[in-house]
Amino acid sequence: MAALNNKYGWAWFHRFASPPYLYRVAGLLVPWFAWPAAALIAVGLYGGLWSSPPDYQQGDGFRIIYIHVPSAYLSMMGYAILAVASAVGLVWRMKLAHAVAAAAAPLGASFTFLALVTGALWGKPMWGTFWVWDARLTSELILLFLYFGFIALRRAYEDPRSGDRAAAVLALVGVVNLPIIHYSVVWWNSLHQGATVFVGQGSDIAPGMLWPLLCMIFGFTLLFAACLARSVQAEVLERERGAAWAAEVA
Amino acid sequence: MSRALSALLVRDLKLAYRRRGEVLTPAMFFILVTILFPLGLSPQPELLRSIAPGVLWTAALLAGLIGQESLLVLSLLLGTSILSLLGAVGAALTVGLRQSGMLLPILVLPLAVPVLIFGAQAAAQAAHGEDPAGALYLLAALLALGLTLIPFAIAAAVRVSLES
Amino acid sequence: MSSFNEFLTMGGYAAYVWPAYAIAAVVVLVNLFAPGRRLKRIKDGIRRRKGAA
Repeated sequence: MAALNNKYGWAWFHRFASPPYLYRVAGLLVPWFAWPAAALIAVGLYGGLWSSPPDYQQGDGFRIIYIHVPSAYLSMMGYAILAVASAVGLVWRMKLAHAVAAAAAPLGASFTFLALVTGALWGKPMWGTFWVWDARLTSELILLFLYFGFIALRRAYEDPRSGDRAAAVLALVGVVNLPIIHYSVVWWNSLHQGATVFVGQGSDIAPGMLWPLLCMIFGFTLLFAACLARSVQAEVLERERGAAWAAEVA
Repeated sequence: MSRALSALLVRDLKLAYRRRGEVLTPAMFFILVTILFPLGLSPQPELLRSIAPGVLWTAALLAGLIGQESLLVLSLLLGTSILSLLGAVGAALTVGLRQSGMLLPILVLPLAVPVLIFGAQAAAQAAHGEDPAGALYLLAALLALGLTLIPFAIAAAVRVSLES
Repeated sequence: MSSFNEFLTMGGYAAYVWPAYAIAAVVVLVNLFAPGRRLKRIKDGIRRRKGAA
């Protein structure tokens, strides 16, 4: 029965509760994420900046989309990772889950910032303004502040373990913001355009523009994963710096 | 003279950098409050319409309800209840901290924004005679979500605060 | 894209497109190198303490 559980049960997952195991696996994964990411981004950049045709309405200005969309997507995926890791840490009491959350926060925040900045640079020539208080832009800005709140709350606690858990609670309360951002474009008839890529239904976007966008989305996601893995290594090692295994790998 | 000035400036900047958390927190607080004002008012620039819901929001609190204003007051009841819950979570998370400063508002304000968006939208729609049902339903949904889940969050937060 | 000149001027939108890509490059590079450097710093700290002990 135990053997069966080990093969098909949650044992594989619980191995990640071991710091040296998580450290090693994260380290092994980094190149597997990083190199494909570099390739995909290189191809995507070629497609986005060179081979894809200019938009008939927005000209070459639309090429910001190849940065903006992946960043916006990652800003939300980052928070999803934050929320899931926080939940695992709180509910299953896996301390290392908090390490993943701590690693994901600055990463996610930086891509939220990038989404906002590239959005503003895209909006200025297209809509005539850097900013407008519509639902999606505002929600994305709030997402940035949710990230900041998470990082600030974690740091405010003297005991890092308590800080982890308090920030985890905050992350979970804030997760409501995610569907609001995602659906805000559907709910409000606002300035920000609707979704560009519909899975399965066919897209609004020309194929020559679609494949570079997909390359960039996947490439950026793998890049995020590589950075996250390396950052998780740092988090784990710092938390366990007194341990014997840490002395071995240092 | 200018050497003394620049030395003082450098010293102050270094001190501020060492405690940059403290310096940034008030700044973020004010940015957040600035963000809230356009949300509380309509994003449309028409002056009368843009201030009317905000004025009604305040006036209904002071005056009491008559007929049509009941929708506005309903949005207030739903919204302020959610805000109380969020405030409670924020307080529970920061109660154990010695130097929380303006951390509590910074934590709570982003969480309060969806409530503000929907509440102001419901109020504006009610004021213009449009149907605020959608926004009110969303507020009610947020309140239901909050009532069921936030007590657990508060319990967890208090536990963490007590332990540290 | 028909010419290198069009690539540089981005059909007139260069003032918006290139800063966007530049900021993206900064964000990506910082996120790429900062975790590794932090890891190295932590490892150095551990080794130093190990040596002192």
